[in-house]
Amino acid sequence: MNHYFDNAATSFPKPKEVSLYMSDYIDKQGGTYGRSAYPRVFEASANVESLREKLASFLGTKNSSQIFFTFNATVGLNTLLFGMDLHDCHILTSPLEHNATMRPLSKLAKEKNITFDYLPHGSDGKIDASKIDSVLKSSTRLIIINHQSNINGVIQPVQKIKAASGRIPVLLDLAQSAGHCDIELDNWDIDFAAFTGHKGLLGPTGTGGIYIKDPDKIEPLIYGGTGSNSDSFEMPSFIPDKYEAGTPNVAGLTGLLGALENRPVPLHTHEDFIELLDNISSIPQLTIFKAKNSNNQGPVFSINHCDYSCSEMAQILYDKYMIETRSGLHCAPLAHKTLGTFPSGTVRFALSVYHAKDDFDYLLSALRSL
Amino acid sequence: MKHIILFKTTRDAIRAQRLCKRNDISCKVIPVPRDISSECGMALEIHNSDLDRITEIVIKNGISHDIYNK
Ligand SMILES: Cc1ncc(COP(=O)(O)O)c(C=O)c1O
Repeated sequence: MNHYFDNAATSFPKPKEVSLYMSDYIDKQGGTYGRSAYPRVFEASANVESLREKLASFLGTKNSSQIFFTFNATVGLNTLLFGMDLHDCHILTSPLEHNATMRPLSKLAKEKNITFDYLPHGSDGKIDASKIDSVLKSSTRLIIINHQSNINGVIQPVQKIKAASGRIPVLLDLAQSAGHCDIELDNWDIDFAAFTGHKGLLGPTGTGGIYIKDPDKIEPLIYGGTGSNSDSFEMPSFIPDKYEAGTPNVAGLTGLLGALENRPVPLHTHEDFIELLDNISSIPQLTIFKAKNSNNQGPVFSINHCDYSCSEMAQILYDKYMIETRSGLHCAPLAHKTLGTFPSGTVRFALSVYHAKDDFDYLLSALRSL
Repeated sequence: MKHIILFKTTRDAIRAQRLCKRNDISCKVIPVPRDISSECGMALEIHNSDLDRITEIVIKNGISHDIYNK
């Protein structure tokens, strides 16, 4: 049985190849990325480059050269938001953003004369692309969209939003969606994206990255050695080195390669999941927070109980049923404000491919008996 | 006679090595010779007779590079 429902924080379990690739790297292979040319280094570096190719196809872009590794989505989002030279302008975000976006944005707002508004949306936070015109300003320079909410699992209609916003660049936060939803960076004409390796991609913590359509537009966040242009104090202007100063997390990236080369077949179907949501919705003591339309429902949802606080409920679920969940605000106060659950929060359930229908039945019976 | 191909980035050196392998062209990954550049990192050593083919392939794949006689 799989009682772990905190996969939006970090996924567990991982494909066995994650630890196999990592222990092979740590115990046998070793070697840094670039900087030398003996076979150990070549092999270690070649694995990192294989991962870059693999990720590109995963994220729907032909431009693997425009994917850069960071240590998680947070570092990626900071790189993008602070590297864009945003000032004296207006920004639009989804109403379900995570603090990985809102905190950098709040700093920019204070220091760089930036204002921001939220995209028009329905009660579940799904953006209404047909109303975007009403919030666009001549000074709008960026649209930020959390592709899949980490609170109620709403998947945003990215393609429609991009089409409705003309030439304004779009930044996608793929932290929750990568590994769960279809992502087509090229077809959707996305300008910037950030992803993390340890959630739906099923890799280890400490891995992630960004995609930049036009690398001339972003200055690096981190400066340091790259093994290239070493006679100069200046950062190289060429990619990927421009964004990859310092020794990367080779062990972690090798593990992420193991995950992507060995994607498990999901043990449940989308229909099984929607049936679970419908069943939970019919429990009178519970309020469920999910997408209104099951077509744009990702594998995350939240609930509240009429008598227990979210922290009490999470504790009962663990103590009585060994069900692991996360309660509170999930680093996304904006999303909770949008959904009317701020500041009390919710209990969140986040699935993985390793949940079978039996696990859903177990969860349902636990929730029914609360 | 051999030639040495230098690249700007590790990524490009690895891409070029893979393209050589895929096209059955023999090449050796070597450290960038100190007399050519103060750069650390990887270069490819190739046979003179393969130079034209390799050059064509790396150009086709958009890999910027420099060529040196050994
Ligand atoms: C929507 C969203 N964005 C960004 C992040 C940050 O991801 P990480 O902690 O891997 O940087 C998370 C998860 O914590 C998230 O749910």
